[in-house]
Order: sequence, then C-alpha cells, then structure tokens
Amino acid sequence: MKKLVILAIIATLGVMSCKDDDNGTPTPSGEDLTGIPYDPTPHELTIPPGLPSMEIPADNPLTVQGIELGRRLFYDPILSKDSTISCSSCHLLTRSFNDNTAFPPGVGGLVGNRSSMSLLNVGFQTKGFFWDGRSQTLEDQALHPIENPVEMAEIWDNVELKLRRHADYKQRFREAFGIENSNEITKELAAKALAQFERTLISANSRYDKKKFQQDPDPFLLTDLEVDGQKIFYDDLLGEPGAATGHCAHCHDGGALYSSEVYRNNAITQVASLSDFPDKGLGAITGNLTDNGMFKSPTLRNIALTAPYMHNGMFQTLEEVVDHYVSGGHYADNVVLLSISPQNFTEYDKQALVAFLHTLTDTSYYDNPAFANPFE
Amino acid sequence: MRKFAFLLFLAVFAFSCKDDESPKTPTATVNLHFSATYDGAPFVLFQTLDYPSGNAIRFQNFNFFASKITLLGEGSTTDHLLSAVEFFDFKDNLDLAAAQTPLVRNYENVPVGTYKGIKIDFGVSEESNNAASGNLPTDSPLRQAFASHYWSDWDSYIFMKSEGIYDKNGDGTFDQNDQGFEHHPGMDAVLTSVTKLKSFNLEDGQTFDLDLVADVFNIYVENGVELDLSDPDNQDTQSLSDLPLAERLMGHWEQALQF
Ligand code: HEC
Ligand code: HEC
Repeated sequence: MKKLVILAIIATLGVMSCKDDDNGTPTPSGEDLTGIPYDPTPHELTIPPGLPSMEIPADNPLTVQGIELGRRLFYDPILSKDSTISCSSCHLLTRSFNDNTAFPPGVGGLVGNRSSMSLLNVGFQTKGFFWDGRSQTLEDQALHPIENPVEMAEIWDNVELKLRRHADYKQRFREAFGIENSNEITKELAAKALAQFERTLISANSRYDKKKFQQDPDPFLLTDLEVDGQKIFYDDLLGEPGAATGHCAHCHDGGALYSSEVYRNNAITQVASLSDFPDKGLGAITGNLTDNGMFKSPTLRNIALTAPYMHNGMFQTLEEVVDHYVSGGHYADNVVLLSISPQNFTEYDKQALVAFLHTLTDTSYYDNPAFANPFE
Repeated sequence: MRKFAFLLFLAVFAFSCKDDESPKTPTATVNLHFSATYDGAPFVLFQTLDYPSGNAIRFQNFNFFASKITLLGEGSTTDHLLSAVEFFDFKDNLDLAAAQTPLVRNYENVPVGTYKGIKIDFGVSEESNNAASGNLPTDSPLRQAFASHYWSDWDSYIFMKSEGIYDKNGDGTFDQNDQGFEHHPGMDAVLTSVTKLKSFNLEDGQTFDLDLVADVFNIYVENGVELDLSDPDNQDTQSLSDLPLAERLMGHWEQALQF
C-alpha cells in the first residue's frame, strides 16, 4: 500500500512537472473543465452606414461567450497588481472610453506621459494602436497595460494564476475558447477576449452621423452655425472666395471614423530640429528622423467629452485646439504646412467649427447593457 | 503484389489528375514594379529638389490609386485584367536606396501570349468609388486606404495625394514663411485612363518584370511650364471649385507614367 501511494505521488509529480513548465518547478495540475459544455455562439456585427468593414482575425472569431468574457476582464481590477485599476479606470464608458486627465493614474497613482485614447470604433482601425502606432493588433495591444508600471503594474504570470483559480473565469474561458483544463488559461486568451469586446464598441449615432450617413431628413438636426462649421471642417467652400478653410478632414475624415488614421506632426511642439521632440512618437518606433513628433490623428467622435486634448493633454478646451490650428502652430520640416494653416478665420468661423465638433457626440450607447460594467 | 502496385499506381495517377480537369493552360507570373522619379532621378521625400521656377521644392507624401490595370492583348491574345485596384504609396522613399527599390505586386496565372502594352486608370473606378464601405473586402486597397483616402464631403476617394513645401521666397531654406501645397484630386470626373504601348511576350512558366515609373516632375511640369505654386489657386484641391486644377494634375499622368 505504502509503495503504491509513493508511486502515485511520484507519478503525479512527474505529470505535473511536465505540464506547463519548462524550467522544472512543479505547478498545480489545474482543474479539468471538460464537464462544462463548450458551444460558442457566433456573434455577427452590424456595420452602421459611414463605417467600413471590420477585419476579424481568423483565429479569434467573435462569439457571444468571448465578448462577454472580454467585457468582464475589461472592467475587472483583478488584472492589476493591487486590484485597484481596470482597463475602465482610464477608458470610461461615459467618456467615450477615454478619460478626462492629461495623464491617467495607474496603480499607486503613478502616471505616464501620454493621454488616454477613445476605444469607440477602435476595431475598425488598421494602421496601428497607441499614439505612436507601436502595436499592430488589438490582441497584441491588450497585453501591454497589464505589465506597464504606470498602468496596471502587474505581471502576466500572476494574472494567469488569479484567473486559473477563479471559479467564474475558469468556466467562462472554457465556454469561450474550449480549453479543457484551467491551466490553459493564458494571457493570449485573455487578450483575445478583450479584443473581441473592443470590436463590439461601435458608435455611429451622433447628430452628424444621422445627417450625413443615415440621411436623416430632419432639417433642424444641425443648426446653421453647426452647418457652417461642417463646411469649414471639410473645406467645403462651394466656390465662395475668402471662405474659411479648416483642412481638418485631411487628418480627421474616414467617414464616420473621424480619424484618417494618419501619423502626422500637427505642429503642437516647438523644436529647434526634428531630433528635439521630447516625445518622438512614431519616430521612436520607426527610427526615421522625419517621423519624429508624428502621432496618430485620433478620432474626433465624442471629442467634446474627452478634454484635455492631444497625446500630452496640452489643450484644455476645443476653443484652444482651434486657436492652435488657426495660428499655424510650430513649423518643423515634417509639418504638412498647407493642412496646418487654416485660412480666413473669423471669430464666427472658430465658433462654428467648435459647434460642429459638438455634433460628433454620441451618447446613445450609454444605455447599451452590452457595453456596461457587469459588476455594478 | 504486382496487382497492388498497379492499383497504387492508378490511385496516384487519379489523385494527381484530381485538381486538374482540363489540360494545364500555360501561364506566366507578372511582377509589377512601380517606382517614382523626379525628373528622371529617384524620388526621395523631404529632399530639396529643383523646380523649374528656379525655387526649391520638397515633397512630404506621394501616393495614388491605380485601377483596372490591364495587359493589352495583341492578335489572338485577349486583354488580361491584372488587378481591379491597387494603392501605391511611396511613404518609405526616405533615402536613395529606398527610392531605388520599387513597390512590387505579383500576379500569377497570367495567360501567355503577345501583349502590345498596358492600360491603367489612375484613380478609383466609378463603381468602386461609390461602393458601400461596410461591404469592402478587408484586404482590398480600398479598405486599407479608406480612412486616409475616403473624402466624405465628395463621397469619393482621393485618387492621388501629393503634398509638400515650395520655397516661395526663394531663400533656399524651408520654414513657415514658405508655401505648403496639398494636391488631393478625386471624384469620378478626374479618373484618368492611360495607355502605354510596348510589345512583350509572356511564356509558359516565365516570371516577367513589368517596370513602371511615375515621374512626379511630369505631374507638375508640362512642356517646360510648371504649375505656379506661388499662386493661391494652385496650392490645393479641396473643394469642388478646384476641379480644373484636379483635372490638370490627373491629366498629367499621361506623361508621368513611363513603361
Ligand atoms: C492607467 C491608465 C490605462 C489603463 C489602466 C489602460 N489604458 Fe489603454 N491607454 C491608456 C493610454 C495612456 C493610452 C495611450 C498610450 C500610448 O500611446 O502610449 C492607451 C491606449 C489604449 C489603446 C489604443 C487605442 C488607439 O486608438 O490606438 C487601446 C486599444 C487600449 N488602451 C486598451 C486598453 C485595455 C484593453 C486596457 C486593459 C487591459 C487598458 N487599455 C488599460 C491608458 C490606460
Ligand atoms: C495634418 C493632419 C491634421 C490636421 C489637418 C488636423 N489635425 Fe487635428 N490632430 C492631428 C494629430 C496628428 C493629432 C494628435 C496630435 C498629438 O496628440 O500629438 C490631432 C489631434 C486633434 C485633436 C485632439 C484629439 C484628442 O483626442 O486629444 C483635436 C480636437 C483636433 N485634432 C481637431 C482638429 C481640427 C478642428 C482641425 C481643423 C482645424 C484639425 N484637427 C486638423 C492631425 C491633424
């Protein structure tokens, strides 16, 4: 009998040490999950007018179970070191999944040097994520906040352990991805679920969306002031000599994306030469001197909700932003000069442009239970 | 045992015929190479270049759509559509080596035969220009360049983007006192079809390099006369009132394309 027990122990140890572990330290053998049914329900996205098709990676199709798991992870501070910070701490539902600080605080109140970004319609983006485009997929992007010391300050090994021990998550990972053992919960699967949830964060219901893309016939949808602002934004002079041109749509178009997904220097930083940007943005990623000081032209959807503005939060109001563009900003060799020298602006034109920016606000998704915090 | 070997042979034979109902049609592979030049020299972004006015010019972006890229058949060879639409972006032409490296597209299964030339529509063809964005295949150049090139106000793609700075005051340097330009022609009216005749043969199994060049200088200069970039009317093509300039620039593809 004794012999048998010893043998059994040795055998289990042997099995355990082989399992998920190259360096030989034994890990718990995990829990068999095959008793939980795995029958994922495909989720079809409806693309509203004005938005383009969305690429869904073949190895991460949208499922009801995957999206729901992603939503929980998004709102769950379990992903952070001291359980104080979740993705939603810096990407707030009522702030266009952005926030209202220049530098959002992470664990322990530490801050970085970049402002948060909106996640609405983020799934449509194809030209890289973050202000400098350094991450190519949402699946990759979602891995980074966890280990960023000024965000969630955790390490993935710990997160995996926490999730593997968690009764509800064990079941949800099984239902979403068909894993057979709780030890198969990995950071890659967590990132896939987060990416699935993010792809569902679609918004296309601002007043301007309705007018332009849904052909809403209501003649009073936009005021005259707002319509004038629209013309300035899109350089729609209609042949009127001397009319104001904002050139905004050269970098903030893309239909209902209101982002042309281009990396540009929009002349907000005064530098002696291209090597002198305090934050090199795209240039730090590509190593090209002429990319220094270039940042992604972000979406202007819900821009009225997400002050302060720019990657470093340097402008407090939309009026300040418009004043910046009208002034022409700071020259550098990589500024597309014509875009950043809006012409013929009067005070009225500035007001009109700001008024137009307010028509890009869509709060209709606030009531969408599928976007909401499941723990509240 | 022999019988078995024979059966095996038959089986293998049957297998190899499986995917191949008709006898294999002879085909070639075409590698389309597109490079950009400025007055014959490799085109480098951010480089100070001579403009015929005597003042310097610098380009910051140059890209365009090419649609219905077609090989024109000669005699019994029929025309062959290589590609419905491509987007060529010279954003990486940041030094000489990069500028000497063409953008490449590969087309397989091109029927062999004698071809007398090539036809390209510069811009986005009418049917694609008006297609619903939500239905675009995600690997289509029209989808890939949707955010940057779809101009909502015209409900049209921007067909070509050529952007830069012109040394307006002629002091040989570039700063905020100089003149930016931004040429973004679009809309069905400026779609420009260009045919270049030059015979070539495609043979079975051959890989053929089709070398095309876009000379940016020729977009701006015709018969030695340059577009006057100090004239405010010539500095951008944003609104409908700039249609004549858009037509003029797109019309220059005839002389800008070299094959
Ligand atoms: C402490 C605040 C903070 C937390 C927590 C946080 N983020 Fe962010 N997020 C940011 C900031 C700041 C940026 C921009 C950073 C940069 O460009 O370097 C950003 C950028 C992004 C982007 C890029 C958007 C775009 O348009 O390129 C995505 C996607 C994103 N975050 C998702 C997440 C997810 C998912 C989580 C949770 C796993 C998360 N974030 C947690 C602050 C935060
Ligand atoms: C040449 C491209 C370009 C043009 C033209 C342009 N922008 Fe921008 N815009 C950008 C870039 C790039 C950023 C982000 C810059 C940064 O943070 O470093 C930005 C940021 C913004 C922001 C802040 C966004 C945020 O989330 O913080 C607003 C608001 C804005 N632009 C409005 C406008 C308006 C209004 C116009 C027209 C007057 C305009 N832009 C013209 C490229 C451009």
